[in-house]
Amino acid sequence: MAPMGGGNRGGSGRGRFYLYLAVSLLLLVFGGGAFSGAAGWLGARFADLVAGDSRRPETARLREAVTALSLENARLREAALKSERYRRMLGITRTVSRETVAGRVLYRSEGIVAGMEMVLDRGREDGVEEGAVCMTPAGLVGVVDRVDEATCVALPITNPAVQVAAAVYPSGAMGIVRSDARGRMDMVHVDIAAAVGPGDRVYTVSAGGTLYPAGILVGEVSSLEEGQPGLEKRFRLKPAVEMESVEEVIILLPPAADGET
Amino acid sequence: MTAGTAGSLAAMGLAIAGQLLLEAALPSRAVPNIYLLTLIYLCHNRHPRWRTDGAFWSGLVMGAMLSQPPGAYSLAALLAVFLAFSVRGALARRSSLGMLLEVAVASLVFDLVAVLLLGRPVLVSLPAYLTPLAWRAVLTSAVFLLVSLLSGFARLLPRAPARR
Repeated sequence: MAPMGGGNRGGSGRGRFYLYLAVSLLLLVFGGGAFSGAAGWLGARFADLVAGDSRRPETARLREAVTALSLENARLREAALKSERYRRMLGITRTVSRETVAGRVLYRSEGIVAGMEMVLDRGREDGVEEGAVCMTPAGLVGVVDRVDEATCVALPITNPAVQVAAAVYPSGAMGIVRSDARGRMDMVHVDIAAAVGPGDRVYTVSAGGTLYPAGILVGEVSSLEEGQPGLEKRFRLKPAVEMESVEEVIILLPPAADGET
Repeated sequence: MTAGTAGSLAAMGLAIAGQLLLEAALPSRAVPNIYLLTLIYLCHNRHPRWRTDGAFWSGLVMGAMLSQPPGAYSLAALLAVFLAFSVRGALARRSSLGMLLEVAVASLVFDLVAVLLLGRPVLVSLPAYLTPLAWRAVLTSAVFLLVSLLSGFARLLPRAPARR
């Protein structure tokens, strides 16, 4: 090894080398925390000088008040957002002449879209019954399948068990909307001569007294399969509602006994 | 403080500032280590304490200015100078090839230690840095050669020990 110092200073040079090596290691291990702690302490003392002593009871009380007000402000912001959402929901339900109740999605079988079920926080005590239709301002969500006292289970329209009578706008072609086991939604049994193109919207129809009110948006045509065999047309739909992210729904209660449809 | 010491400190300050500008302006693989070049020059031609005190304090300043944990660059500079002098100790004292080798070894060791100490997660990022480290060593050696050609080799080589 080469000498660390020149000539007879080799011993002291080596000693200084090891000393600085040790100091560097100590700085590396403890320096960051020590410096940030010291900087924090200095910052606090400087703040005390400028804004007064933070350890005074009055300052502590004001600090707590600021924290409480900040939390309350956050809650109010969230409430305002929800209020806006509910206002839009109410605007939509004015077009439907049925009793409605708003429900929150408590649980959703995420991951596997096919066979998805949603548990809602409304049940028989809220007037919900089997067959009640669920929707959002964006469009149709699904239908209530099972009802308990305080909760119910809704099947989204991407569930293979659900089929919806629907019509394409603007052509007016009618058909059935249904989904396969992988959650892909198709419209089938459509007149082969109907002029349907990508982007056309699909709405529910109430022909034949089905349980869905007419005019709820189901989705839009995403693709057409050319050269299909048979005398009917089928095409792929994109649901109007993102089933994986819906949080609240409007539940349309069943029509009154006086025969409203 | 003598005029020579002040001049050495000014040279080191300029080298650190230049190194910071290069690190900020160029990709890491295209930056020669002029800080280390200056440190080695000062070690050889000014005072032996640049190998310890100079390496430690200049490394501390470099780390602080690059917002790195304190101590990492000091350790890197100390080890780089120590190993470079050890390599050079095995070679002829006044040879340009030995000096070139010393600069290359110092650059490699400095960057390697810095990456080992600062890379997160530890050791995982090292393979990705090997090529840039080699490039930096080559560039640092090239800068040394260029400065040597412009100023004359003899001026960069260590001086004979002064009579006391």
